[in-house]
Amino acid sequence: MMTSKRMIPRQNWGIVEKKPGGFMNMMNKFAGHIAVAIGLAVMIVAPAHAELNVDITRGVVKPIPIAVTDFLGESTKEKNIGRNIARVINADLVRSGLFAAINPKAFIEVEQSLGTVPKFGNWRVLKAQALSQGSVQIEGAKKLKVQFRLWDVFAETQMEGKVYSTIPENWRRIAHIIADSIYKRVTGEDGYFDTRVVYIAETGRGDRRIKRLAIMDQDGENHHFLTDGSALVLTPRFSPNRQEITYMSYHGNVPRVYIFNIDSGRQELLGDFPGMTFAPRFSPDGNKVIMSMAKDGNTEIYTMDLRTRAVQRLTKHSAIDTSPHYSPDGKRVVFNSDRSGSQQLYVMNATGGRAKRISFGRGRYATPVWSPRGDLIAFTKITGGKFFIGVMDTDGKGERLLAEGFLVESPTWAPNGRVIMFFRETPISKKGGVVSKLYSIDLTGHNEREMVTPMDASDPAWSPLIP
Amino acid sequence: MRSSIFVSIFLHVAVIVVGIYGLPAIRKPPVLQDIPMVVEIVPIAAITNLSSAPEPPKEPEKKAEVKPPKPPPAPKVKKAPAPTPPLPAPKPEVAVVPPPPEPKPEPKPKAKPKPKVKVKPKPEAKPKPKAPASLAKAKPRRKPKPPDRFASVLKNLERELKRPAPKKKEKPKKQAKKPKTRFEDMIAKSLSRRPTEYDPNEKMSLSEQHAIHNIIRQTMEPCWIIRAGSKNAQNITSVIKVTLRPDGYVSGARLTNKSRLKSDPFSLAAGESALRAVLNPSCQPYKLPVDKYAVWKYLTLTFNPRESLGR
Repeated sequence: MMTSKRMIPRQNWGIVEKKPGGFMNMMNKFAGHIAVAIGLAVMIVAPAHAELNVDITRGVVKPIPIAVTDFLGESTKEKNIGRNIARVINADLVRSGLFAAINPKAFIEVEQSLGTVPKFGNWRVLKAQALSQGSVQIEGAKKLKVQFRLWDVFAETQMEGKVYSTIPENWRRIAHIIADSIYKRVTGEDGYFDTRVVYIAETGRGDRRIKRLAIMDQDGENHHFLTDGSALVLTPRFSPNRQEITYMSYHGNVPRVYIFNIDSGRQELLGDFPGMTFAPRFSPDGNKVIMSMAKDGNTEIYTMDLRTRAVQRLTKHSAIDTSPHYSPDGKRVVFNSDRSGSQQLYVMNATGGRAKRISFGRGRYATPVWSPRGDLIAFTKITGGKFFIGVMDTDGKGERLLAEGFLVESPTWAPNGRVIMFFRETPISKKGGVVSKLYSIDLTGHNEREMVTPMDASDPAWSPLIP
Repeated sequence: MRSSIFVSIFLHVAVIVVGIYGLPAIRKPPVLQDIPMVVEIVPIAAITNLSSAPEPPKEPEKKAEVKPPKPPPAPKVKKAPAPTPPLPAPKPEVAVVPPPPEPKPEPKPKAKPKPKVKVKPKPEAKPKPKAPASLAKAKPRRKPKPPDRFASVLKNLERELKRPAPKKKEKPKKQAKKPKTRFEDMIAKSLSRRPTEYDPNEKMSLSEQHAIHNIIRQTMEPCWIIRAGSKNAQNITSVIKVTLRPDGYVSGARLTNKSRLKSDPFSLAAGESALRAVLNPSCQPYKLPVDKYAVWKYLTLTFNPRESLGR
């Protein structure tokens, strides 16, 4: 198979992705021209025939049945990696709620080579609509080559085919990348499996509660701590385009905003402001941080340019303005304020100016987060003694509540704007003891899943796709 | 660059050629487009006749529908299209099946008039609740309603059987064999209508159109997997061209504008999802009236999830 390098090594990971190209592309173009010519000829010559037009305006919302076979390998090590890759892909796809994995025990016959077209009849019987196959090859001591193909079982066509090269230790990331590839090809939306989640890991009770910054893959694997717990940390937020986190820390008993570089492990104080700074978030281009600053008894929204360290004030109101979040195009900012008497959501230009209220429902609204795809704003709503996680259009219309609980808060979007993660506190004793866990839910509101963490967890922040 | 120039030149030449020579040929197809025109006119007349008209034709259709589907399932389980072409053939065979109960009249032609008498009393029984006094009037009204081909065949058969009756006793035995073949032929002719014999210009009632549309929708909707929560999913439209076999199975389906859709992953995925719904073996056959095969042989299915995704 003719191949050419299409994507260059990923930073610090050494993963190379290849895809058929070169000569094949040229041939495809040529074939395309011939097809156009033939099509024209057919249009002129072929007789017209009566066609019945029918509109199908309803469908069913259910997972797409997919069969993911163990990736083939020669040696025992290759086979083990192949089996693990298939397991991770399966888990990713199923957790999305958009796929239903067919039990491997039901497989009739698994092809033992990627070089042949699958026997689609065997997969149709299982009602599989898509079929994922792959192979693993370890070349030398430090090179893992993973091939994968995605087939449309009903149309009997190949939907995707890629080859990845990396070090063997990266097999899990390869699995996530392949899962993203399948997700995107079948749904048309970007995947979110090759991502990480940073959150606040909590241990201890009462006054001795220790809060540490922790990070893990979106499926809960590769968990480790970023801070040692000596200082209280809150509200971690990922940079939309870099592996950086901004958060608030009580280091030295002074609440201030810091920036943490995941790759280098370096922590940096954002700035020495005269008042307390909190609720920081990056701008979409990663060059600014927008945050709240309490000064002289008044909380306003400020931005700081990370290159020039220039600070700009965006709001000027006697009320508390906080929890700012940029729209993905960076032109607008949503925040919450009690300027109308109760806590509500407002939208203003990114340069400041007049703010427009967008939430008018009963109760209070907080922690607004603009969807990465720009169409929705997620929020926390407090009404009737309960907390809710909901979404609304950017003009405030179409409010939908997705999750509820004794305390649910801090929504964060997956990079494809389809899934939201949040934390939920559940009381476990009359003395005030609570359990705090992370959950994800998709926009349908029907696919809520707990994120397993080694300890209590709060304040999650979803990373962009790992570059 | 070169290839695109060649394509451009080819397209220009093609347009010119079409302009000079192709136009007269293009004018002809509109004749075929008259088919939907006819269909559009029908509803106006059919509105008043909707309730009564469609009922009688359905009965014979059912006989034809229920039986032919039996042969296709067997080959379909194994492989899709190969064994199916002979499908139109089984119909006449199936159509011949109903006569078996009637061979009885053959040896005794006199018995035939009896069924007629039986047919009449049945309709009489129903009008009873209205007015028993008008029984005599009710009979002639009911007669035209069941314009069964089978009944008319019986009538013709009676006439023909009456003729040989005056002849000698020896002859009737020989002639009795001839009517057998005639009888079968007539019934076969009247009850078996090959789909290919359907006249596309034949008027179809509004309810018949709706029935066909509904069958297609009801077949597709449970099979079409849509994704709630996708951005602007309700604005994505996919068009699938489908060719059906007489037994209702899909013989071919293709997604239109696939090359254009390749630039938009979401539209491409939506289109492929619709195509999978059409090709899904669990969602076949379409149980459509065989005698209207010419109407539904070629389908253009436009998929848009606006009703499911209310937003």
